[in-house]
Amino acid sequence: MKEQNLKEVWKEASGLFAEKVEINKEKLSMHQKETSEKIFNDLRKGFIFDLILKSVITIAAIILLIISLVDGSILDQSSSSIFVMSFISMFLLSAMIVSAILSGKKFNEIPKDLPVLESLSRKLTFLKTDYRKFIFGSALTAPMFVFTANSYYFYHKYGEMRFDDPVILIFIFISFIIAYFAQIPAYNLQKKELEEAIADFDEDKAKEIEKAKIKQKRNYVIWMIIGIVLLITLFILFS
Amino acid sequence: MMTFDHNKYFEEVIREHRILILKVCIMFSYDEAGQKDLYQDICINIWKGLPSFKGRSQLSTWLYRVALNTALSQGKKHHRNPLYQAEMVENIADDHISEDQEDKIKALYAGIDQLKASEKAIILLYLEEKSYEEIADIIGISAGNVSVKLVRIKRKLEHEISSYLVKWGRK
Repeated sequence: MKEQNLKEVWKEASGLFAEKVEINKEKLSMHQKETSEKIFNDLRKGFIFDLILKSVITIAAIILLIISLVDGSILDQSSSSIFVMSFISMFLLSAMIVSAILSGKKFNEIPKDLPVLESLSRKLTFLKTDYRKFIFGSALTAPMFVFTANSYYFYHKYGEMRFDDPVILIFIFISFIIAYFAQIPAYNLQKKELEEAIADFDEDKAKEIEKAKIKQKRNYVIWMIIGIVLLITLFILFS
Repeated sequence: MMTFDHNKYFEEVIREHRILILKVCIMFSYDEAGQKDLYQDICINIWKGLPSFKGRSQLSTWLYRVALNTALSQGKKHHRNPLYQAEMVENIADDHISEDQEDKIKALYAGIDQLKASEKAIILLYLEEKSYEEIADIIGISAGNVSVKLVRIKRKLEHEISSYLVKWGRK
């Protein structure tokens, strides 16, 4: 099919679709009404669900903080451990909520009408910086939940925080690892798709992305070596 | 929050440019549900972005940017039906077009479906009679780059279309 022919066939196809739309005009205008009312997309729903969960845990931490204040003196060592830990939980969660809201705001601030390549680049930057932070913060929701629930348990059972049971700490750590790594495949896929789309449009950007990937791999190796050296040092020191 | 006038303007824009939006949706979707979702997402982004439209570019150029930004950000969906567009043509084509023309339209869509998302965006604008400068403005690359890419994309598309026509015994 030759060049001019392509355009002719396209015009014919456009005519067909135009007719179809005319036929379904009423259906379309109804669809539009639904559309203008549909505010949240899937990403936002996940984002908001995490914020709600964090808020609930924050409220639980505040309640525990108030109980520990009312119930016993801060100077009393057993009550003060609950007070301090609840305060730290509340502070951390509040900071995470503020950070998540700011990240969401930044995404919304990306104009919808940027040139396609710039829009993709800005989305990729957002994904690599703010969204990455959001994933980390979101993965902390599960351990914060485990921690706060345990604080309640310790308070009612012993009246103080207990740090002598490593099982609790292991649970907290595992809940973070699961929540964090469960989100990484989807994140990597989104990043890969955006990088591919950008690379398809612009060869120079493709080279930049390739360089950044090599740099990232090198950084991973360096950090891994530092981690291993640190672990070995700690092992030697403590043994 | 949008004022009443903005809402009215939005409805007017959508009504007048629904074919443009529909073309982007058909090109970047693989089934009816995906097409409807994309249509909704594009409309949402037009609704959100319309207050910032200052008329510095043509409205259609602005709409293509918003629509393509939305379509390209949705990621690759599972390829449920690679011949969805071609089948859709078959469903809506009626008696006033010949079987030969119908096959050509089907082959065009089947061929477009084989292109990468970035190639689809460029060929869509080309087929919509946009100049190289306009395409460059919408995509954000130089006009020279558009020209180089278009040569490659057209060659690829023509090859794909020919393969389909041969497969369907039309060439």
